[in-house]
Amino acid sequence: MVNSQSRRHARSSELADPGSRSRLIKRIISAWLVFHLAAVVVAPAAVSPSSELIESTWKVFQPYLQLLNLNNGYHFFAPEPTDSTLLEYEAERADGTIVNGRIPNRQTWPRLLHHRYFMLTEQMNSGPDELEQAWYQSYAEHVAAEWGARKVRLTRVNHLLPTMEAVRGGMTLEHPESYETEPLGEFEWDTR
Amino acid sequence: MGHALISVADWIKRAARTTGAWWERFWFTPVEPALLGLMRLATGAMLLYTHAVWGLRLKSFFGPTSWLSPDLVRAIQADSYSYSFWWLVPENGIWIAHSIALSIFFLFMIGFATRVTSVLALAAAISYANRVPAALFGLDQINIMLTLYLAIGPSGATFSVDRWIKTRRGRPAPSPSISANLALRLVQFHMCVIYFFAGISKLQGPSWWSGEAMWLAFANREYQTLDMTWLAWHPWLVNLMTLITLCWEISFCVLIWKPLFRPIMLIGAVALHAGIGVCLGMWTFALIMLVGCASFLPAGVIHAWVLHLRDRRLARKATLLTGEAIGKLARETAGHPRPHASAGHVGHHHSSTG
Repeated sequence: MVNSQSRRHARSSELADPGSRSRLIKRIISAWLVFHLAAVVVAPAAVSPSSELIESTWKVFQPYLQLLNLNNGYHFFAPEPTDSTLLEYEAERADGTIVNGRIPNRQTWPRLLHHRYFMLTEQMNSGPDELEQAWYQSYAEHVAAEWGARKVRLTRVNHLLPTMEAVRGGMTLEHPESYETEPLGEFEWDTR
Repeated sequence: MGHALISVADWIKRAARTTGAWWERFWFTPVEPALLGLMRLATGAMLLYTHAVWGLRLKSFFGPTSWLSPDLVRAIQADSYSYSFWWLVPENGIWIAHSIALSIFFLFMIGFATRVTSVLALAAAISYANRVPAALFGLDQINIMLTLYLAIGPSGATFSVDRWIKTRRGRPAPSPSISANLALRLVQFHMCVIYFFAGISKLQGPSWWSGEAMWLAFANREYQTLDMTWLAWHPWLVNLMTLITLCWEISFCVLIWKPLFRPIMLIGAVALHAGIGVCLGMWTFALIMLVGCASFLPAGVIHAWVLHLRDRRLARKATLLTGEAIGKLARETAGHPRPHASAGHVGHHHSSTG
């Protein structure tokens, strides 16, 4: 009893000492640093394809990474630069007039806004498969609200990248043959 | 056997001691906060600009019938710990919320109540990102990463309204601090992770091996802001650019720590990101990456440079003031001859006027 009391007394006087307090603070910061640095490395390492070990480790850090929005892969232009995805829409209003549009639009200014629209189309299929229709529905609803339309048709456009040989042969980056279309569906509302 | 065990134990003990000393030196050496202050100015300006641009299409991205509807985003983030203040904002309140957020970014940029506004800016930037997860790109990731570390360090200690207020109150200039070093080290480490993974993830792509990847980036019309199709006639140049990019990204995390290579790696960063800005139109991303790279500049040299600039400004001001005082005195003497004026009288006159 006396022993434990004296130990407690020794510990509290140790904490009162500025040197040992600063050592304790450094230890706490160091522990957090180890955790944080591991989290920062595990986040990009867990991007598919990744091992089960890394995926299980990522689950430990998941709440921390997502709370601080550090759950990023940093796979810029990887595994390689690919074709662009664009979205064409046709909005039909109640009076029969039709509005056609496409995002991203190179005329959008400032450039940052152009990139926002580009990301909307590039990441259209980044969610789980079961959300695919909900994703298109969301875009269609936005187009309908924007143009006061009752019917919206969406088309995905893949803009293929020409090879160096093709460009040397006279092909331009906007050649009609470099666009492939795929209908995504027709969305209709009773009243709007 | 026993002897071998003792040797191993000794080696472990020595390694632990060396690592401990290195860790202490790396993370806990106080540094001047001037560089952190400059990084806060740049990051704050980028946060302000990035989020001000949302204002051009606020309803389209943050309204109830936005491109990414609230239901869709909630479904995407169903199993995540993401949060956003946007979920609490009513339809008619989006402009008020946006204006408050922009004010926070502005206050953070100018360094007003930085300890508070840095944390608020971080929470606001995360909230925007989590509301529009499919409209983001590297820029937003780096914005948030830098804001986090600037909130940890004393980023408002210099180049800030906070400093101006403290100077007026006669407080001494900020001294080197451990937290400034911690913040800078964290940015440095994070930049290494970013470039390393950006580099090794490219190794999965055949075009990075065949040397055509840079062509594919330049040939993307949606990115392109500068016509680089002339490169089709110089494939070897494309190959070289691809190879250099890959080698630079992968080796950054090693060579940036070597004093001999650091300037080369930083010049490489400027070249790479200027290229991204000029050719692919991603100036915002390019600039914020360079802000991150700026963490590798020597904090002591930046501090000395800042002091030098301040001293020059003060010296110029003093010269101007002295010149003005002499001119004023000369004018007074010429315009109002004072036969009885004594030195004491002139001195009194001066003190009473100014």
